[in-house]
Amino acid sequence: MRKFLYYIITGVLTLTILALSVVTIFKSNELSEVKLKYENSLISSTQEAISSMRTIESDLSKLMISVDEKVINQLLSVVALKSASCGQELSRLPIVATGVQNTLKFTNQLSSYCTTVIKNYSEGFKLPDNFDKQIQEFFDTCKQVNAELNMVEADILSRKISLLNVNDGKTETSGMFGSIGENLIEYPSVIFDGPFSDGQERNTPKQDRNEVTVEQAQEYVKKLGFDCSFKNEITGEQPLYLFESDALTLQVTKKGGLLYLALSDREISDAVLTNEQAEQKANEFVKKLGFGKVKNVWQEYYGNFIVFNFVPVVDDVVIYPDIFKVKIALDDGSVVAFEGKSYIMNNHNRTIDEIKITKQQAQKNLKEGFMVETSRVALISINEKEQLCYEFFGKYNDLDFAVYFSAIDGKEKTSFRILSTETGKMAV
Amino acid sequence: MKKTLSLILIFLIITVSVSAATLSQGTRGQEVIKLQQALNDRGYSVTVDGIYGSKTRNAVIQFQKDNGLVPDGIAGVKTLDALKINTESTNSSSDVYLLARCIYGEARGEVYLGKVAVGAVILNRVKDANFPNSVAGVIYQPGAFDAVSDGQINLTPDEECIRAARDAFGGWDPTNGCLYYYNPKTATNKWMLSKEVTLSVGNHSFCR
Repeated sequence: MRKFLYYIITGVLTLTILALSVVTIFKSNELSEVKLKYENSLISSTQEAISSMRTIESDLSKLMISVDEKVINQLLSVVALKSASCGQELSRLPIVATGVQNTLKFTNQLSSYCTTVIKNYSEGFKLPDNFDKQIQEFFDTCKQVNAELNMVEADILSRKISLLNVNDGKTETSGMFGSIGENLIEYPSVIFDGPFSDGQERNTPKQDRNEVTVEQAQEYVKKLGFDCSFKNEITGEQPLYLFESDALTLQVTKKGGLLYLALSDREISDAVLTNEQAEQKANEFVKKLGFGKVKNVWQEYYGNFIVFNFVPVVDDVVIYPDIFKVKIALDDGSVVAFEGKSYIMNNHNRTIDEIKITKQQAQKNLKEGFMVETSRVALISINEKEQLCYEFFGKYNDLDFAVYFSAIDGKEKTSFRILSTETGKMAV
Repeated sequence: MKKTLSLILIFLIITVSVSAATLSQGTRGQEVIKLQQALNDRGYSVTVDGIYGSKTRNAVIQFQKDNGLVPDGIAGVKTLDALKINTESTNSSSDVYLLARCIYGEARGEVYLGKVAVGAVILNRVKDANFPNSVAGVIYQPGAFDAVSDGQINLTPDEECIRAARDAFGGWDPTNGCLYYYNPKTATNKWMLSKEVTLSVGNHSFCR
């Protein structure tokens, strides 16, 4: 009997071990499969990026000798497209690879540069003065990047490095996946009117303002009705003074002593104020800011608070680039948040261009069938350039739009579709 | 691609309004009225007052249970679709929700300021030439965020994280332009630790 029991137990144990081994092998295979799939996708992205970069190098070299407008435009389009797609593939690779990060910046700028040149060219502008020099610099960099990519490709294909282990601290890597300081490629400085120009990476407000002391900033905070104490200075994009209370954080610019940001942590109770009462509270608050004549142009409605968007008004022109926001709690009407970065960065003593086109003339350029409901003159910012426009709100085929036509030459500048959402109107 | 991004940024600057195409407790307005009417039409009795209170939330949960949806009490795209309410889905609405998920995964234990700050870092990266050009691109960049690596990004965000994501999209950036953050108690990356800290909120140090 005991012997029989012994066999039973041994049998069960053997079967269990066998079953566990099968499951482990199965799971391990599954894991290897997943890892392999991931590694394959990384290899595919690297190969795609390499292939795009080679096309870019070839097309940049052609751009250096091309003289025909059409050919130049075609080549620029291909380079813009290929550099955007190269950037997309590079962004799928591990962020820790600093060489990848620098190359990503290069492709982003190259794509942005080409797109901007094509756009300006199509609007009748000439090629930028330094076009040849810039293309030459792009080409030189591209050659260096490709030389590194060739090594990376060889390493990957010979299985010398695995993209799964890049920058894990144990694997020796070089080139694109090397650590900081090892990347010897010299990336050119790219200055143009596009969004990723090195020249656009400015952190200096357009208006030079005098520096204020902590005491002056504290006085301003008090005048705004906040009971917060100075905590410390903040470095970063802007030198700021940080003020805090239990539930509120305030940031005041060191230069000019103006409110930059406010954010409250407090729980907002049920709404008791009407929208009109909240707007009145917001208006009372902005008067104390020292931001001059401003107008509430847009509201976002949430459960127990409303966000009011204000813009300055100069000579009856609404200045959209200087927009700032005030969030009012509907339980007690207090200001629970404020955002003033655009105002601080963009507001300055502007000379508004003289309007050269009448509203009627601009309106004639609208699409036939567009029913204008309201209009006004507005300064808008497109690719960092301010443009004086007529702003037309209206309907086309029962859809709401806001369209902008230049008040200088009557040309269409941009348009937005206005959607009704649960938080108010939204432009896309 | 860059053009699209710059236009999106212009849109954000001009209108500064984003929507998450979701209705949740605390929301008010015409869209809530539509929701309440639709619930009533299907036998879930609620007062049609345009205020998304606890009764509306409970009715939504019941509706979600009855229809095989996740009973979270938030009327998102799927719930609104099941109720045959037309919603305008936009890229920005998807981005707000994705950002909220990342904030929830990365900073749900932080104070509100810390949540907005994490959202702001992600959006600062979208605007920076050194990083991918979309919210999804930045969030899913391999190795960029722990919440993505460990799967916490897939948790359902709470109302506060959705609000923080909306604020970050609305331009609130308490970090003063930071591109990175780390937990000084657990971080080991020397390069990151060598960076000058701009702001510290809760468990996170923010740097440029």
